[in-house]
Amino acid sequence: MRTQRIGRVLLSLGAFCTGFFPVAADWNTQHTFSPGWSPHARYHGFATIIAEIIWSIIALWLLWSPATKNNSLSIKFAALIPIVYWGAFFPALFVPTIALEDKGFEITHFFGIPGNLFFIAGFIIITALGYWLYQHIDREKN
Amino acid sequence: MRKISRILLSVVLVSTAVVSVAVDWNASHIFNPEWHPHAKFHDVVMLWLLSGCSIMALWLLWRRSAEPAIAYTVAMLVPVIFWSPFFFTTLLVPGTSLKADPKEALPVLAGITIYPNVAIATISVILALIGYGLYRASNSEVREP
Repeated sequence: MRTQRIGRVLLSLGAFCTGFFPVAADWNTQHTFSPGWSPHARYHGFATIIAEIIWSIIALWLLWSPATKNNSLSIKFAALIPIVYWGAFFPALFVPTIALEDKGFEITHFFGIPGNLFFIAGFIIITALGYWLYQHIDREKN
Repeated sequence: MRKISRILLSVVLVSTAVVSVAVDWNASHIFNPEWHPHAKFHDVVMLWLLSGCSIMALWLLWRRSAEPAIAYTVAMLVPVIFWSPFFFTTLLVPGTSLKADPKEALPVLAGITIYPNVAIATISVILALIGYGLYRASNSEVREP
């Protein structure tokens, strides 16, 4: 039971970061309010933030609502939301002409790797660990 | 009725992902030389996210499950959440635009400017809600004696 609770808390942390980390990172003059971004690019930036907030709230609801919290499909979906979102950052890196940072707004690099990739990998690991802990208990019960 | 609901939701999920990738994966968006490289990055992430969520929703919708309510709810929410910002973003955030090309001439109907992306968003949201409504109606039919 304790392991299951830890799993649920880790999944909640992953879901929370999915909704609110993009607000902290992107709601500024480097992204949504950047004078260098075209109005339609800013539109896409904002629309993604809104979608992430809504998905984050849905994931938290699935994890904690009495109606859904014990449904294995709810837990699976709540885990997939952060993994699909943050996982999207990695294939996106391989598209030509795009970049993780704009000129003049460079991110701190660690070992030659942009710092935000470490955060993103962390969110995926936290969520996967949470799901594994939750499922581990589920298997024991059955 | 549940089968029609499942097919309708699947059509909306597939069309949402395919139309979005087709519209954005070109020189008007992702390969637009006027867009900053990081703005392009965010659009690509959004498309991957949408495609991932759509695949996930289709899998939930078509797998065997004793409790399909969550699958149908998710399959309705994926397109509704994706398209909803088309209705309010330009009102909330100054400096954003629904037009990829500011010089693009848009059709006007009865004095109202028609944005093709808002029209697609409206149709997709309506179809997703009809699909979900059909599922709810099929549930009521099962419960009735």
